[in-house]
Amino acid sequence: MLLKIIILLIVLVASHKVYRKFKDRTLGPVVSIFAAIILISLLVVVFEPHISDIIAHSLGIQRGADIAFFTSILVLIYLSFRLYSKIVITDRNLTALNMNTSIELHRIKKEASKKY
Amino acid sequence: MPIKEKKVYILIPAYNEAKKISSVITDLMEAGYKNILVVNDGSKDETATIAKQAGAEVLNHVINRGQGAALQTGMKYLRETYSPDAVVTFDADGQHQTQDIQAMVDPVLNGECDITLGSRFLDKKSNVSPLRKIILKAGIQFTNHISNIKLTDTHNGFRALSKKALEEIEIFHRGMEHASDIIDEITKHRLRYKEVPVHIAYTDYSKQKGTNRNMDFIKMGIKIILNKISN
Repeated sequence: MLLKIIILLIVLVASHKVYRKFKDRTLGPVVSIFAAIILISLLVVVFEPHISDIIAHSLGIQRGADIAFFTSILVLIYLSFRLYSKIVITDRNLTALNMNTSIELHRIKKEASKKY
Repeated sequence: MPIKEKKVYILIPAYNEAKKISSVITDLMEAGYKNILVVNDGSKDETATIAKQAGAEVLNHVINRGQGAALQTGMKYLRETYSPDAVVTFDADGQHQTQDIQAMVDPVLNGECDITLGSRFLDKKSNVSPLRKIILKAGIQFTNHISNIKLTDTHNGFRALSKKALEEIEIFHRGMEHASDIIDEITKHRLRYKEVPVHIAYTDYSKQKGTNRNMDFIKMGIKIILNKISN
């Protein structure tokens, strides 16, 4: 029961934050809806496990808890891959910045040494 | 234009090579290669000063980004500034031999191919250790399969690029994996390539540098696969 109360509190705080960010327009509608679905799903799995069991059975999985487990693994893999892709892009931008800076600095120095 | 009058540039990426860079540049100068560009990849030692004193033009990276990034910078600068007829990529640690340059450059300058790639395995001059040979051969098989090409040596930094290759080839990986980028670009742009036997002198100094730990090769492979998926 204690775990259920803790999860309920976490979901309430998270929902409040999502709602505030949505109102401030720091979160777009798609991300806000996605966050809401995740939070509602969490409540369903915790308070009405038989509903998640029904969904699990329709997907060929025995227990509702397993579907939550598999989904979280898939979401984590997807998120780490997206994070990796973003790191790669940032890394490439940094390399390009470094390249252009060094070439430009070299040209400026070359020009300056020609003048004096 | 006669071959002798063509502009050949030597591009040397260098990171903390203060001990060796002077002798490498001097050897090149004595062999008649006066157009030398060193890309100092954010070295913490005196590499840039020594290379300049030895007579090379030196570009400085503000921070260390890896050999692929240094080559990328050098290629872009040469392409935009001098428009050379051929660019030879050459190691700063003394592993590559100046006497091999002519054989690398000639096929590019006489229009036989767009790029020449040095190979350690076309003859037995290079003193490759048995363990390193196994790892390199595995890497070669991996790259050949992933890039749909057939080469005897895929991760050799000794190359000669024609004007066309210099225009077409783009390097995406900033580290040692850039070798796979170059091979991918060859197949992508249908560049004509030729492998040339070269002698790589592995010394205690050169063994300390570069990609020598076996784990580095595995990491390189994983990075190449992940980047191929994410692109």
